[in-house]
Amino acid sequence: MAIGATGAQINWEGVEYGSNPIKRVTSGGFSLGGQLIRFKGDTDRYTSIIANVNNEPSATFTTADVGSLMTIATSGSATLAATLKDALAATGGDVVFSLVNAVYETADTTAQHAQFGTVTATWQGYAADGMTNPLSISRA
Amino acid sequence: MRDRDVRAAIAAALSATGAFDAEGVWLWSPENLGQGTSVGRAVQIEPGNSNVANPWDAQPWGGIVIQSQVKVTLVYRDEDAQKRDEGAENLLQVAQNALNGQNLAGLTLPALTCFVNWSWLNPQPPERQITSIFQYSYIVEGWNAFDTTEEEGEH
Repeated sequence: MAIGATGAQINWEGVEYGSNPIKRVTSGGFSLGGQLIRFKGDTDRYTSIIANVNNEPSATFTTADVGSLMTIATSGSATLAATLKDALAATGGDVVFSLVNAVYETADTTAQHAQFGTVTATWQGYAADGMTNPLSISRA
Repeated sequence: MRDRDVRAAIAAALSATGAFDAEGVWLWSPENLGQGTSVGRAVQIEPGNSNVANPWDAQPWGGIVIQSQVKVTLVYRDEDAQKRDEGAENLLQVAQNALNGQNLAGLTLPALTCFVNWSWLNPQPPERQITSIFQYSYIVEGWNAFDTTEEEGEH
């Protein structure tokens, strides 16, 4: 019997930037990065127009694999892919993220005494044609 | 690799110190502690508690971190009460120098490998025992990646 999507997600798998697999992921996420502008004029007392004119998709991941993320070249771009697993591992319940044209922005390392160190890296995606959303989200 | 291999590595490291009698490094169960009365300086290594942490990635391939504790009982026998106590304490110091911060069996994380406490048991002349807890952590690369090789038997 097929099991439907649970509607809840737990843990990342298959996080990869280009050909660089990112293991030991402790936290992560993607943002659509949308921003709205408002217009109000004449006798308006409330915003009369809201337009979405600026979208800057981005991603951030934190992992214990400090060495790998700190040495990724910050130039160039690649696809950042990641899957957020279905909570009950149901078929079709995973949420698959793909950020094409992802430019590696920066990485910050934190390590406390007697704890696993972590590194948090960020990416930002661009659209070559200025119109196509570089961030796609699907189910699997 | 698993806790068994770490206990064997503990035994090997303690034997290598030369501080214990040749027949005095035991990986046996507690009921055997009373035997070997001809042994003056001994140590018994017993399995203890373990805790599991799931710090990263998704199951079943995401690694898990296991923190284990081993009970290390140090035994020193001498008719002289003071010498008995000082000898037992010295065995503890030797054990700490030999094991703290080590990568045992290629498995334990050195920064998380050390003795964490010890207690003196009441003297049972000519014997004095110190029970100590040696704690270490290691990573298992996958929820179903545990080592199931056959037991190795007595060392």
